[in-house]
Amino acid sequence: MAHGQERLQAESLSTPPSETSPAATPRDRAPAPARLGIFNHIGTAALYKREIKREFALLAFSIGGPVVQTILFAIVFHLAAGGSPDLLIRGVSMVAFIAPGLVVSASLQRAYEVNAFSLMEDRMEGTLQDLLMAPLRPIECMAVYAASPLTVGGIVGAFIWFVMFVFTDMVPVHAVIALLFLAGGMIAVAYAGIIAAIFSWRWDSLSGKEIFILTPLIFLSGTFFPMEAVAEPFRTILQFNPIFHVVEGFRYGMTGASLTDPLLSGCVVAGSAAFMAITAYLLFARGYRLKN
Amino acid sequence: MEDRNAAPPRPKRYGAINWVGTWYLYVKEVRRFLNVYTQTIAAPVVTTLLFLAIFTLALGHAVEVVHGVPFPTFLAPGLITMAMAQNAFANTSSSLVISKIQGNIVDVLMPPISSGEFVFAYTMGGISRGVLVGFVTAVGMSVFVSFPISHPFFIVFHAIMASMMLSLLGIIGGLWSEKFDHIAAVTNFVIMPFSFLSGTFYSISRLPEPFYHIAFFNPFFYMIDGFRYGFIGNSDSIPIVGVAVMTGVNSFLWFIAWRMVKSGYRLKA
Repeated sequence: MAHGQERLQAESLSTPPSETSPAATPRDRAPAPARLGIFNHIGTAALYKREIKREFALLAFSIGGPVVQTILFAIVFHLAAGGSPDLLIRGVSMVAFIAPGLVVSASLQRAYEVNAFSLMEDRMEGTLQDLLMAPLRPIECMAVYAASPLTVGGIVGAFIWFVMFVFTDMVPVHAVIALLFLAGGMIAVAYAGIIAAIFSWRWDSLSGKEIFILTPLIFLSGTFFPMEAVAEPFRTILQFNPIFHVVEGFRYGMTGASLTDPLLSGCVVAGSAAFMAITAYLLFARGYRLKN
Repeated sequence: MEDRNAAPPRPKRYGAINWVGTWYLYVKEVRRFLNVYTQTIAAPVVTTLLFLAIFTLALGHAVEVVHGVPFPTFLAPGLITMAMAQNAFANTSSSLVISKIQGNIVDVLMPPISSGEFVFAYTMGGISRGVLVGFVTAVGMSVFVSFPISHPFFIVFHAIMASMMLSLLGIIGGLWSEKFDHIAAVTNFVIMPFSFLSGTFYSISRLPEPFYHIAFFNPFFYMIDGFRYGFIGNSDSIPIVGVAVMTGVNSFLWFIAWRMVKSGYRLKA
């Protein structure tokens, strides 16, 4: 007994290995759970890293696809409209008009997909319990589910902005405002992705939500065409689309001019983001359809 | 009582062409995409209609008339061809890649189906999906856009040829790919650019000099232009040349696909 105690004392005093007995094992001391405090920074950082790595494991899907599609859109719009002298939309050429719309549409689409595919993959592969059983509070999970789409969407948006900058010299007038609108839109759409994954039991159910809800909302929000071109009853209806306000706010930040009042658009975007965030948090925290 | 002296069961005899086997491989392919028709048929239709809406709203007031017809009427056949092409490619390529990755490629390699029958069944499956998507899209668009019909032969011919070409490309791409990333790269960096930039949205007479001539070497251009010719009666190329090019390209691709399957390239290690 005393010999064992001596061994423990010897270990705890950090004596050189040659002096401690090789038979003294760490099982003599029970491991203590990690002290995490108010915020589990280790777990949150780990979840964030996993989300990012999961996204960038397939570069052709995550970055290549949106960038190529955007460049194709830009070329096609330029060639289809090209040379037409009276085709100036709000005083700029076709490509310069749609450039902010291209950045917004690609960023929002990626932001939605990052979360929706990640949570859906967890559910289908059976790794959802790894997420739910980890010592992560729902608020911490939600924080990661905002940070990782912002990162991925931000990177994709930056790539596309750079490509558009090469062709159209699009330099932001109010850069901070533009970024705030884009971030607000990405957060709203990212949490919508969480809600969509919670309500989907199969892959085609999830992709159906994306194709039939998100894509029409993005395409019909004035990203590629000016809202002035739309005939009256539809025009008012389309202005209820929160993504319309994201795009117009982003255009205001990029060009200094927009169809809507930036303050009103800001409130709409912030309200949508808050609504989505709160709904997603409540559903996730209760484990609705996740913990059966 | 069993007759113990009866001869053991003989393997089924089939002649030069295994009709039953080919038919059921084709049926498997068709049921595969009909099973998830919201993703395989409805989704492309919705996306194509959205494209029509965007382009008409964005360009309609400035680009009034192209090749003698209103812009939406010029655009619609191009969009239908693009939808047919992308979906025919996706059908065969995804079927092969998923089978290879999940391991059930064995189920189509073990039965007595020859390489030619293999390629034939997969191609017909892709053509079925392509033509179905094209037809439903056209019906959906006809609510909004007027479709004059000038030369029905070209419509049918190019619909089938376009779907066939992309199905064959999908087979070749699917055989070559070993991971989803490969086939995604082919779809994003080859198929999408070709289907967008081959005169779908604009007449190639708008292209600056080197690109204008390069377009005449692009089979995608001929199929889009020919299909559109069947509707509006006007084209950037000579229609008979388009027929010849599509026939030639498809024959070449059949041969390549058949050789790849026969040699077991990346199928039978």
